[in-house]
Amino acid sequence: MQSLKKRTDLLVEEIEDEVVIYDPRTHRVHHLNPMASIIWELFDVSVSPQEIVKEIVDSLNAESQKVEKDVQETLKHLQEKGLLE
Amino acid sequence: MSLSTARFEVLSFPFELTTDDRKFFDEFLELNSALALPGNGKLPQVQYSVIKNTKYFCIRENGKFRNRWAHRWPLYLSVMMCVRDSLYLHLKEYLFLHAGALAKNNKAVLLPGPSESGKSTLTLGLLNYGYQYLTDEVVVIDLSDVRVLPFQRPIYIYGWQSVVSAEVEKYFKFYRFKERYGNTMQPWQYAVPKQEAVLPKNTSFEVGWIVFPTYNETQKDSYLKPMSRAEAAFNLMQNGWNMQHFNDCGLKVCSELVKKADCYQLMMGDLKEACELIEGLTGNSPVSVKSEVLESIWRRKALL
Repeated sequence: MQSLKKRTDLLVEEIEDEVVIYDPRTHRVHHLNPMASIIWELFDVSVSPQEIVKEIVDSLNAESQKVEKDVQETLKHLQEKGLLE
Repeated sequence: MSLSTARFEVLSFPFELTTDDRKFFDEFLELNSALALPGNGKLPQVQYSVIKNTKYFCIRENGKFRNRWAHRWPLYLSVMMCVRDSLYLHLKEYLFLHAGALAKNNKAVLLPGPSESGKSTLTLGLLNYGYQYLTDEVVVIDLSDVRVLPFQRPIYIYGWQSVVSAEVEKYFKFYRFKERYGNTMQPWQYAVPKQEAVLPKNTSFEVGWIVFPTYNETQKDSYLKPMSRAEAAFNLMQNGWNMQHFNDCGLKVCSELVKKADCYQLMMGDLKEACELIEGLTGNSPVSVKSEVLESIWRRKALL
């Protein structure tokens, strides 16, 4: 997986354990479910998708295969929506 | 040609209306008495005119043609829709949401949703349960304190049947008329809040509940589904009238709104049940509601 970064011009609100993102370029709004929100948050502290997977597996004591799939799908989704660069 | 002109103010938006049709002028004043207050000396930001030629009433905004109607009744709604569009454009101190709203015990319940979602039906239904009418379509959020301001426009209702109980009827005046659709004349009515139901200027309410109604024709019952606050904020953003003017603070305001409120999705198959579910959230009133009144609203369902 290539190295990805959050776009810095997005407007982001954390509401309880979920994230809502407003994209000022497209005027579209995105809602991330709790798992996608964790992955989004980890972008601030983790430099690679592998690190994100490791962080979630360690902190949630979750099954690594499932987490890896979630992370991959979420990254793909975030990329498709143009929220990463 | 004799012209009548008056200046008004809706929220903080001053406008002027000129017309050569005295009957339209008088009825416009009456129908919008709860919403359009007399101008307070400010220069109008927009001038509207309604001038009748041989066949049509033509609506112009600052001289530019906007619409035309052969009859008076659609004119009132049409002119107010022009005013509404101007509010979205000119007033930056408010966020406007596509939602109905009512108040009880000084807290507001918002009913956001697109057209046909059932918010006007639900707004009318809830009036029978002792709720105060704030709006059936345009929720005004004051950005300075994230509270709801009333926008008591006339409620436009299909059919001439009584849609509220005798008790609630005391607070509204009903104007009934027929409007041509194709080859048939259809009955409509405007419900206009009477002076007793008009909330004083600067009255505002904290939002206690946000309920997104979804009308489902095939469903018999109604039920509430809790909604996460993030999803509610996301949905509110989809129902903004002027969200495009608030790049940075639109999301913040929606986020503030949902943080203070309990948020639900309402799947609506039965109006009485739907009203009672909302009443269960906001607190019961001692009002007993007759089923016939709610059925009367529900049977038609063709409310705007």
